[in-house]
Amino acid sequence: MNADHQSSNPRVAASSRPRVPLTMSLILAVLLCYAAIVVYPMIWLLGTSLKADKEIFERPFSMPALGDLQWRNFGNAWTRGHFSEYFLNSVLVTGATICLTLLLASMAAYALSRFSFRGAKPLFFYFLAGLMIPLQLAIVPLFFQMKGLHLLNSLLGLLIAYVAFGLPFAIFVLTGFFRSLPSALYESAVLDGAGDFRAFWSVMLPLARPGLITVGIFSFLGTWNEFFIAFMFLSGEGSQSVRTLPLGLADVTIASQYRSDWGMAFAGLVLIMLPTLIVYIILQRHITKGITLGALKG
Amino acid sequence: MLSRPPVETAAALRPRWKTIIAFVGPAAFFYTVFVIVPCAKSFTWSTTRWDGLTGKAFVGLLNFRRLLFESDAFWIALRNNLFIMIVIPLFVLPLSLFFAACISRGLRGSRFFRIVFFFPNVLGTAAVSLLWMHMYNPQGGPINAALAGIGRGLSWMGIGPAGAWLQGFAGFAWLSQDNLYWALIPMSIWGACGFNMILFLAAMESIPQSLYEAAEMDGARPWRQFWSITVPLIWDVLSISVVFMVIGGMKTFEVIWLLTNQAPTTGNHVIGTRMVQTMFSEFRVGEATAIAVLLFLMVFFGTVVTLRIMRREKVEF
Repeated sequence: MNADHQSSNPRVAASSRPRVPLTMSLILAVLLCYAAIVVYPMIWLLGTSLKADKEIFERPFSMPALGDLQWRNFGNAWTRGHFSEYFLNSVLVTGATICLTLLLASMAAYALSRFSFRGAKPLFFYFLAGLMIPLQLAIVPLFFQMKGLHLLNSLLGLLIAYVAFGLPFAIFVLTGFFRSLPSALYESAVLDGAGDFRAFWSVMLPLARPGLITVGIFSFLGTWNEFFIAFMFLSGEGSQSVRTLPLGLADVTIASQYRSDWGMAFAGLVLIMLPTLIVYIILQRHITKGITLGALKG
Repeated sequence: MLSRPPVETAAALRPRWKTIIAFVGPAAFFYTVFVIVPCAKSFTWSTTRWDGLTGKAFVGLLNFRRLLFESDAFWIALRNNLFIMIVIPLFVLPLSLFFAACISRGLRGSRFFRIVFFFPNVLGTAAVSLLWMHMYNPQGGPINAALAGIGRGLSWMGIGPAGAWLQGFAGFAWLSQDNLYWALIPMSIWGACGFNMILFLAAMESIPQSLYEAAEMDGARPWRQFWSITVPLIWDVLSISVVFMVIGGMKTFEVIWLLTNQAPTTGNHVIGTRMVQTMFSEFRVGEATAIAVLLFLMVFFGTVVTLRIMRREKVEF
């Protein structure tokens, strides 16, 4: 204690961190251990998806035989497991959800932040209230509404639900973004005679690109992995051909337990995780930044 | 705040109502028709008895009385939700705080740890649940195999009792009714620590370094610095992440539904799975909406109460 006090001049304090290499390396070791624990299930999954059914749970730690990689697990999943359909459905509904959410939300957010009209503020809070509403509160009546519109067991119905539930978060983030843009830009565009829609589309929207990317990423992750609404809307008779990946994967996994047909289930897991992992690796900075942005402001 | 343009341009900039409606209308329409209207319907439906096909019959608060006072099922489900809301954060929050504190103080490779720790959070609950279902496979899943393997090693080294205990995990049914909720803990740590860590890290990085330097000059050890500087200054973010876990715990569905092979037992249900079962297997639509209303009320008041408990004087810096 005393020795510490005597040495506590700024220069020593600044260089005090490397003074405790033991604690530091201990911490580093703990973090590395945890990193290994975090990564291992993924490596195990990748390895297992290339092993023969019999091998999978008999020797869980063995690496797949390099000369005998079971690529046909993926082939089986793709054809016999209907993953080609699930994958296409997921791509369609996710792509459409992202585009539609971005379009509708950015238009609304633009008007809410840039047009001064009576009711702009209450309307903003009206959208914001959606962030507090759990999906479950709406889902049962929504199910019957969709049934009445003949939109159950269809991708269109799923798309509408995804867009509607995605709007509050998207509008919340994008309104913040449009507000942070200098209003002089918009004013000069309008005064130069650009119409409202042109000012929005060619001047303001390109400036809001970081916000659009953030919302787009969250829309992608949320939709690609969504299970609950898909399960509620696409579980009826004859909906096999419109099911999305999470739903199809759940079916295949449960069926595989009765048939010991594991390879297909593991290949399916890889198929659902790979796109999100690729997006994560490419857009990693945007994702973590977006999370802190969304959470800290909310 | 809405910006006010100067007076002379204000007239040119004030858009007509047609324009406003064209911009806000589509979003407002979808949101109202497919989110707000069904939510409102839930409240009125919760006072009816309906099998989804024939006419609705008004029954007042009967659904709520049945749920709350005439059977244990709802309370058992609520207890399971509370386990997820309280026990799991007790593991996840300290660990993510610890990781964030380590990484924020300029550790080598902090970018690597950030990327690695966070990646399970992009995978989605359904995929994570199914992955861990395989990990927990009683016969030959890697978790039991690893535990039994370590046990054999310990026995071989002559540490008999511990070795025998670990070897007993061969064939252990993690996802059976009695063990399911304990099995959620490692899985949730794996799946949620990264997200919370990123939140805490962002908050920690906005703390001025000079505070730590001053504390160091006063002789405060890292442990003391953590409790007296870091924790008070990230308290807001800490309470946000507690709120997230309370809301998420209340809304739990996929994990339980998938890990129980889409057929939870009475003891395993959470409120979300109860609602789905009431609607799809028992065809009691009115009661299902009553569950939804209770769920909403608990999310709402859970958030308010959590924020109240966590509220303290704001520390300025």
